Amino acid sequence: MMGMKGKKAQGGAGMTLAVASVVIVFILLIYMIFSSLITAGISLKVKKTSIELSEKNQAKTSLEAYLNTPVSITINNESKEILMSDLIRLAYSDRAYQKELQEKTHQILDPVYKEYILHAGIMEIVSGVGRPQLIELYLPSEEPIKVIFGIVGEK
Amino acid sequence: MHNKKAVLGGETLIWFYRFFLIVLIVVAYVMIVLNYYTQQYDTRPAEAVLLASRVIDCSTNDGVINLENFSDNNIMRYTNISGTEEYIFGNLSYFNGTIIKKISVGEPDIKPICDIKGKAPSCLEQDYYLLLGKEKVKLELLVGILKIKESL
Repeated sequence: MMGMKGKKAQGGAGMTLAVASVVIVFILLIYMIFSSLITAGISLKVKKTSIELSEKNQAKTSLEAYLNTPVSITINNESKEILMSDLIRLAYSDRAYQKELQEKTHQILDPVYKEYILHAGIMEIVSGVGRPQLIELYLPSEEPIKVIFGIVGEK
Repeated sequence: MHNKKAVLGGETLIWFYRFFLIVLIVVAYVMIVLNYYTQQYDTRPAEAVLLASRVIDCSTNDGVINLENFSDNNIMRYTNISGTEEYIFGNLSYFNGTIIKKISVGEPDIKPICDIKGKAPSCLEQDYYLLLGKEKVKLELLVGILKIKESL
């Protein structure tokens, strides 16, 4: 009778160990799979971050050039040369210049970028369907004017 | 007597089993850690972006390009590229397509391979709107990085 009980107890302990080992192996396998997924994701993240950074760099330099571009406009029947940044300020205070601002912007950016987003004060241009990385700055004025620009840079 | 021997034999087996489990856990953790820390990452896309931004930094100021600085020698000096593993190509043109200046620094054989998508080298194409004095110009920049041994 005692021998039977001992055998049963041994069998129970063996079963516990077997189940425990299966659980341990299962947990280790999950760790291994997660570890592989993480390492595979890092290379993709490097590429994604690089594309975002590239878009931001292009947008920053091109926006600087855009804001410093001289344009001729007519103010009080007098032709004057001002910078695009000044035209944005002018259009912000006088909506009559909004159309001119939009036209000049298209003339400047359309030959370079197929897809871009530009919000400058009251003007908003969304060209294309891409979702670019956006950069923003404020033009100094009585009421600072927010300018947001982004280009879809991946080819 | 037989019963005691059997119990001793069973316990020894269980101890072997426990030892085996510990070894299994240790080996698995070592494999996970090795897999994580010995993995090679392709950082060439990031390197290409940094090279491109160096080209822009050394040849433009507030969006205005300086033709003297936009030259092969200056860009080679500023980017400090080795000459065999990287390639920088820049095409500065007016909006009507008239080319103002081209730069070609590094290994030019990398450029044709850039057109084969998904293959080495890692290539980055960028377009910039810039000013040349008061003129509106466009800069098309291509940066290609080979470094296959280091990256794969």
